[in-house]
Amino acid sequence: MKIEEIFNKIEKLIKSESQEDLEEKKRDLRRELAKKLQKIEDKMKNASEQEIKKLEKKKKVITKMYKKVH
Amino acid sequence: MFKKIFIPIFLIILAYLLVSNDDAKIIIAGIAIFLIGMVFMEDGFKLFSGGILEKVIEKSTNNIPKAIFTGFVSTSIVQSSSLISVIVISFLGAGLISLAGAIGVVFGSNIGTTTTAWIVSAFGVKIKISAYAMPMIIFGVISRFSSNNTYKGLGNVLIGLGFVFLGISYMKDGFDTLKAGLDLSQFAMEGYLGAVVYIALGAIATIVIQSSSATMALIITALATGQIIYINALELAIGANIGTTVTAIIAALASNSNGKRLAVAHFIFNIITGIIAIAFLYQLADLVDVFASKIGIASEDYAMKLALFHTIFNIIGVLAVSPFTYKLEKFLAGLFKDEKASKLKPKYLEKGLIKIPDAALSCVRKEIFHLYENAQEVISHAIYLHRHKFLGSNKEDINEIVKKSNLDINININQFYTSKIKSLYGEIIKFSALAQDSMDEEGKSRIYEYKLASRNIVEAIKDIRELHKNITIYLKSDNEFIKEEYNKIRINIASILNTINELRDEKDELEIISSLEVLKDDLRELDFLRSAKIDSLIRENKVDKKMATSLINDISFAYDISKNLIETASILLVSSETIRDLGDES
Repeated sequence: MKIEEIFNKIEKLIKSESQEDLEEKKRDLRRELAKKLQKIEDKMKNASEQEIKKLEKKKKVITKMYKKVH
Repeated sequence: MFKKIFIPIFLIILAYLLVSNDDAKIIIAGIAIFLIGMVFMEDGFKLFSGGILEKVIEKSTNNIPKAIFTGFVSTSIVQSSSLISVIVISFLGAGLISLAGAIGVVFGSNIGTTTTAWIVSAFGVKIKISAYAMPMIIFGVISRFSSNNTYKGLGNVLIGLGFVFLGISYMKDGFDTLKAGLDLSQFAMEGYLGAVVYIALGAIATIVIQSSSATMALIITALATGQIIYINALELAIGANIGTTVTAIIAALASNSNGKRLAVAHFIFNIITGIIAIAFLYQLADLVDVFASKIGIASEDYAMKLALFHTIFNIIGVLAVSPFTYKLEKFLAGLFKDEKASKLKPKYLEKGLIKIPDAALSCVRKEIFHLYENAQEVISHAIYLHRHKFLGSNKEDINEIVKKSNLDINININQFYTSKIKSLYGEIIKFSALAQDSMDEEGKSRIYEYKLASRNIVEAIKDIRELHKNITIYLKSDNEFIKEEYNKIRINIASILNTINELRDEKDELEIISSLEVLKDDLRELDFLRSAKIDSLIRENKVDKKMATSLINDISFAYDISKNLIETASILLVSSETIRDLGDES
């Protein structure tokens, strides 16, 4: 095995993110997105018609993102 | 003129010494090897630190004590105050840290350089460090085979340390054998004459060698081999500290105003420290004795005591000068005025940061913002709007501003593109290409995205050039329907510029990406509605064929401009790739 390959393997080993870390990241992101959705729902309760339209759009976008990390 | 006379004389003397005296040859070779080692270490740390050093300096200079501590720790670790100076000057230039913070780092860096003396006196002259040098160089060379910059950097650091150790060993051997033939200690001088002579010698040696660390290594090895007496060694150390400022001043002559300010701060600090040390030389020597006995340094261990002296007098200098840092900052800011900021030239592309991955990325990002600001100006003017009138307004206000605006802006987009966009874009691409050589895969992929963002901006300008022609024609038209459609295009572009401007202050990246996604959705919706509207305008004969085709083309240009601006904002404002991926559909 070439020295280059050994270094590449060591580097991959150091940099490789464990599946657990990835899941943890996804969980954090989901939590953040869920919080945002809740905030939008709360705002919609007292918003004007025009504001509701804007918030609906945002809700749609964030829901799409939430599904992406699910 | 000075160089023309001085350099040949210096080279002749050097050649004579090398030919006539074998011991001098070994000592000079030791200095040369030591200096090569320092160069390797500096290069190595640039690659090896992978931006950690820069991050620490950037985040830890918001108050003076913190900045001093950062300067001390970072210089102690990398063993190079010049590397720290380069980073600090570049950060100042890129606006990442304040002048007071930078001065603090330089002060701390002065204490940090004294660790070289500790290393040389603790290991260099006591154990046979050449035995460690060879394995270091061998493993360092092996490490350099790696394509990974971290390992390459580590390899350079190991080679550098190996050469530094080897250099010290050569200096020591040279002095040892020299002593058999010529005892330099017979030239020892005490009293104030001695002080003047040896301080001058220390300063001259540092100016010639261009490294106070190498001079200190030379002084300590000479002291450890008994070639100079202790008090003269202290005076040489003071001289080395003064000499190093001359090196800094010469380097700063060709530098920008930030470089000059820091060099003068360094000069003032070292001169004041030097004056204090000269005035209280004997008291300081007594103080060293007191501390030495407390920390267990033997009274005969002059090499270690010299290292302690070097540290103590630099700490005293910091204590004496640092309370005046803000006054010094004000004085230096007035002494060297900032070069006039130009829209045509890069503001943040600091050459010194090309090989420092994180800092280079930060420079490129800031410069693209600069390019974006220029683009924002030309796009606004191309749609006949003044930025100060619509940026910061809400959608309804923008509608009003667009309706009330008139064609009072004279703009030559081609000229603007050539002068304020093209050259800056070229500089960004050039800097990025050079910087990515020192980056790992992640950095290279980020640089690729930045290049994409710059290209998006340039494409947006090219598209607005086409759109501008018809906006000018149709806003003068008597046909109110076509006028209204072009006003809608203007409102749309202004709203996108406005939203991106607001998002620049937003810290929550999820909020940014979701807002940009909403913009994209709006854009798609508008595109659909507009094509339906054009169909109806044609059917009802409200616009002619020529107007309709122009409008169809221009809507497509407006769509591309908006899309390019949104994508640019997503690259520049969202650093997390995971979050950017959430809004990846376009």
